[in-house]
Amino acid sequence: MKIEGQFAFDGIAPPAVWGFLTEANRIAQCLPGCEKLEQNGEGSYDMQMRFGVGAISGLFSGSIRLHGLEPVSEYQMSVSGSGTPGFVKGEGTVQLTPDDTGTLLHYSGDVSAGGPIASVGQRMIGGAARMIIDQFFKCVSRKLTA
Amino acid sequence: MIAQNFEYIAPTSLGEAVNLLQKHAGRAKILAGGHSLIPMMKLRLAAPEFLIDIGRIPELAYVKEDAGKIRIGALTTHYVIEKSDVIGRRLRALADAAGFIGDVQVRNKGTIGGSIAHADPAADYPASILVFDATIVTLGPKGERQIPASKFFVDMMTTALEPNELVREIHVPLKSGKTGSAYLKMAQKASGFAICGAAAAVELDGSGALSNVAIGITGVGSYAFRAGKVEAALKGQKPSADTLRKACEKAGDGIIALEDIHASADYRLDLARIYARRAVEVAIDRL
Repeated sequence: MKIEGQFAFDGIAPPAVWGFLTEANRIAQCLPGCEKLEQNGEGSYDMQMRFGVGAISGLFSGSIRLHGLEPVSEYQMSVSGSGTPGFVKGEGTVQLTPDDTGTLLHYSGDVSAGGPIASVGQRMIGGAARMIIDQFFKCVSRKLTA
Repeated sequence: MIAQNFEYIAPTSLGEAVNLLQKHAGRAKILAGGHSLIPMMKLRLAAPEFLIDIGRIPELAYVKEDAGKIRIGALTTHYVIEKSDVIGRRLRALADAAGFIGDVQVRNKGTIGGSIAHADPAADYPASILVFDATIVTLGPKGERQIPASKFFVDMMTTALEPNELVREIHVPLKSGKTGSAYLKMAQKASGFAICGAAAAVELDGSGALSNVAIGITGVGSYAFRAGKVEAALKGQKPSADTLRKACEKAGDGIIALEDIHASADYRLDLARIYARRAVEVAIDRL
């Protein structure tokens, strides 16, 4: 399933946003339900995340890999995770463009899922992913302006 | 699959239920009819440690007409709402919605409070609840709160309910004039969930123009919404076929539509336009 969207960081220049988004410790501060995020190689991280939307919740373990880094404008991201509700895999591109007051971030990607979450939750995966992405960027924006 | 272990508690009063919810906040779920929560627990998508069954608390299932409003208890089943005489006469779109939910067994067990607290993006009630400007009465450790429907549905499966609050009652104000209303739905064939559902409530003035029009859409976005632009375009207009069609083109404006194997985002937005128009037409016919 395709997921696409954008987020405006008002008054925050691309280098600051880039710095945040490529540093594990800082990502972990903003990733909703993130219980563990450890670097295990160049641009590669192990992750444990408690995912919850309403009554649905589950603990996912997996990895995030950042690659194709072109500071401070673009990178690719691969995410995979599995847990009791099933597994989720995603592949996407994040682009940063300077905007007169700050940075415009554009993301696009493809998410797929399997297991129970796919059989009943399929229609909600896109919306749930968007909700988490939005919470994440709002938090990043807050931390960078604080 | 079999649900993960949980502790089952069946309080016999509302006060006790709220205390339990407060004590186990974040780890407990309220069990009403169980027709959304239990299937999710069996798939282990939901794994609450405590299940607080409010089904033994008396006096939570009722439909009462009182002081210009209809009060619906949280444990009122879909079947009772579908067949209620006063709801059928005054809030037809809500009766339509109840009648569309699942099958007869689901309607006999599932409850309106459970459904709206669960806030499935494809649930039927929210569209009608929004067009009737209903208020959700909740109960928590600090007492009651009255939350307007427009503020209740926050996002996908997310409501304005706090983790230590439960839904107690739904208030629907009654208009003094004659209101026509309808809820129409395009259902996913297997699950019965709305790919798109549209509710409309209308009033006409003496000249035959729409003096009031409210349209609610469910199943399309992450949560149900009012089609404000369509409402603004129709207010004060005579509802000719052409006027309706043009106005309803705006039904999905500004909405990021859901997408799945059954319906693309564009298809859902197109359904929103078509079903909004049909719902208004049926609502006018029923005046």
